[in-house]
Amino acid sequence: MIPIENADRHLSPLELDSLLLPDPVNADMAAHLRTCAHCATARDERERDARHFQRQVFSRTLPEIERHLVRRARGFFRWPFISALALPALATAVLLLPSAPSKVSTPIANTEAFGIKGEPQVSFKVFARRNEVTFEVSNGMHLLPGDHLRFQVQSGGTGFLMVGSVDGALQANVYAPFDGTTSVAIGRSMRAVDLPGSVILDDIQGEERLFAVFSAAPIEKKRMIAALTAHAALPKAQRAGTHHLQLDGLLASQSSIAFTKDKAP
Amino acid sequence: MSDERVAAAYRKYGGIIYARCKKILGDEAEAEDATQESFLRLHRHLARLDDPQEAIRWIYRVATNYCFSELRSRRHRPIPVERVPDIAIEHRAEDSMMDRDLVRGLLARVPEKVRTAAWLHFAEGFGQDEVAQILGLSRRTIASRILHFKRSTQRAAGEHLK
Repeated sequence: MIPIENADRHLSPLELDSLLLPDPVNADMAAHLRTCAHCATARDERERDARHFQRQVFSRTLPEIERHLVRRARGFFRWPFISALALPALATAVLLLPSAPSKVSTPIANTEAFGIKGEPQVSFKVFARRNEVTFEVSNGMHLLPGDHLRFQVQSGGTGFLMVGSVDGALQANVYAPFDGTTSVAIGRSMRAVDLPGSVILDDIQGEERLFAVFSAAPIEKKRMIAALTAHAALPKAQRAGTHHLQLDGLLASQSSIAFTKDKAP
Repeated sequence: MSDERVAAAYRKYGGIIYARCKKILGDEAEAEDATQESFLRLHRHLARLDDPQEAIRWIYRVATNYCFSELRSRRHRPIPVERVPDIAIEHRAEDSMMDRDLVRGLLARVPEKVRTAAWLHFAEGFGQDEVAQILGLSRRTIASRILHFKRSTQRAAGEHLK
């Protein structure tokens, strides 16, 4: 139980935060909250945020927290301390690697991934938020206009990412970067990264396929748009069976996932 | 620290960390990322501390510093995905500072060490003693930093009115 020193003043931010903990609330604090709209509003705001965390963030992010701590315990996270020395050499080595044609590798989880033999696998996960519920999007899932999409990726050591799609109207879109002209830098760390921001689905119905293109160097958005447009131009049956973009000569790994957008209820 | 203890600490304190991060960053998605990063920096302290107020002080110190470093780096990184205004900053007459966006703008003008102290004092409403306790600094240092912020703000207001 946390003592309250002065019942006449507003509760401090620390006291308000302590209300989110499982400890029993001090009787003075409870009495103050019943009569003080300012503190009750501040408490409600905190409770709303805490509920959001418990419902939508905790279970989605805990596995990555645990993986990160395991890697740290094994010593993986010593390397950021030497990265100032090692990264330039690593970057040079990566850039000097000869270009090789992409080879299909085994699928990862719900996505179909296309990696370069011998390269670490990339990962591309899509999460959707509808009302107050967040869920992982699996291949073929049905989504609705207004759903918010977020992307979680593992670079597999590649360093750059561009995410695009061909929607139900066969329009090419680039979601990451939304307003940049080249791939997003995602670092070469092996840990999963949540891309900031989210995409709100519009009301174009039908199948939309997302493509995540990982590369060792940035690629230009216009090149991605051209590849997406070429994909959209394929005959329907061929398009349905093609889960990677033609980006010849690019040292890249790709991952793809499709969903169907239904009409809003 | 076992998986169970990590999960328990994350469940217990994650909501508080998230609320702090959202208040500063003003964006749900960025707050989620900042919550994870802050927790990774904090989890050893949180597991060790029995006093919840002490744990919350650590949260304020680490999460606030982390969020301000994120705000600083925002200017230098590409915006990869369409920004969705996930939340609106609540506007309450009782707030010590009426507009947190204004505070963020003013904070961008001062050195990093001044920024955290000014935010905790003006935006969160902590007294100077409490800010000193949270940041593990002397009250005199905090008073000096807050004075620095006030002078910088006055200069900014003067420039604006010219």
